[in-house]
Amino acid sequence: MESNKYIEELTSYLSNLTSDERDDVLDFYNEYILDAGLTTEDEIIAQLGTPKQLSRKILADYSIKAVDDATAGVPRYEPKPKKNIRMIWLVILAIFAAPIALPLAIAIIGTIAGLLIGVLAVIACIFVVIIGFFAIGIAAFFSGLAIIGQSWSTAVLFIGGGLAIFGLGLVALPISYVVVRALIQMTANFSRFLYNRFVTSKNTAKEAH
Amino acid sequence: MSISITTELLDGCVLALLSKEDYYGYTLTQRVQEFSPVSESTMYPVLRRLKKENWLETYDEAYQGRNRRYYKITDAGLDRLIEIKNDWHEYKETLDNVLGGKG
Repeated sequence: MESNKYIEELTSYLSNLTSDERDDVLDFYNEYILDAGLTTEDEIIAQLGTPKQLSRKILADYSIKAVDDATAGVPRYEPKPKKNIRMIWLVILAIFAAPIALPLAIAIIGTIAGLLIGVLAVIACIFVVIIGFFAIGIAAFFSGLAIIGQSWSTAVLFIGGGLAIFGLGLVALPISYVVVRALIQMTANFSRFLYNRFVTSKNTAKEAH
Repeated sequence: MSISITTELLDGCVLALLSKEDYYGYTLTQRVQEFSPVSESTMYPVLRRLKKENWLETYDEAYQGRNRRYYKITDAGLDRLIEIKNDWHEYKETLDNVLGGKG
């Protein structure tokens, strides 16, 4: 039967869900396909979209929900940057799958991509600056040691300065970690906002009678 | 109709339908689509969320050698429905004041 093929393909795209969640989703759509009397793959796709499109919609919803749960009410766990990055990615995929006008999709994805590139650039800068601190600190420390026989005061100046700069680098590490996390969180929130604002409402508006 | 329905109103409409009788996924989707152009793929996330909030519960019934999952409103769901109804009437009145009567 054609619907088995559809469900099978849908299953393969939902491997990230726990088996309970996956079974629940598949039961729902299996039942829906049978009750709606959809027999050919074309009929199913006409109603539910391709397995890939449907899976993206399901996954984006799961991911967005998980972050919502984390930010609202009892803080059961902090949203992790890794989870946020996955969510941004899922939102981009969901936007591709959503039946909205292509120019709008490109604009939304362009915005998210631009933001991501900006954030990555800032992260790269922070990384380079911290590496610089460590490199200068270590270099000054050893130059100081090298000239300790020739000029005691210059050596002390170099060793002290080197250690201080190295220390600054160490202080900058946790601060930059917090900044990077906040940036990723902001990008994720913004992507989620775009998803809610455009994809959800466009989906419904498009099918207006 | 070009006005999109919000999540809260869609929740309210689903709960309102379920306050009258229990539905299974397909018929519930059909009933919702009678008044709002939601896509077939949006109903599952909505039902999943409502169940997670304990506003509805599910039970299975055998039908032609397979299962049909029925959705049934809970007491908490009925309370939530009243809340949404109140919010809606407040919102409706405010908007009527701004938009005025029929054009």
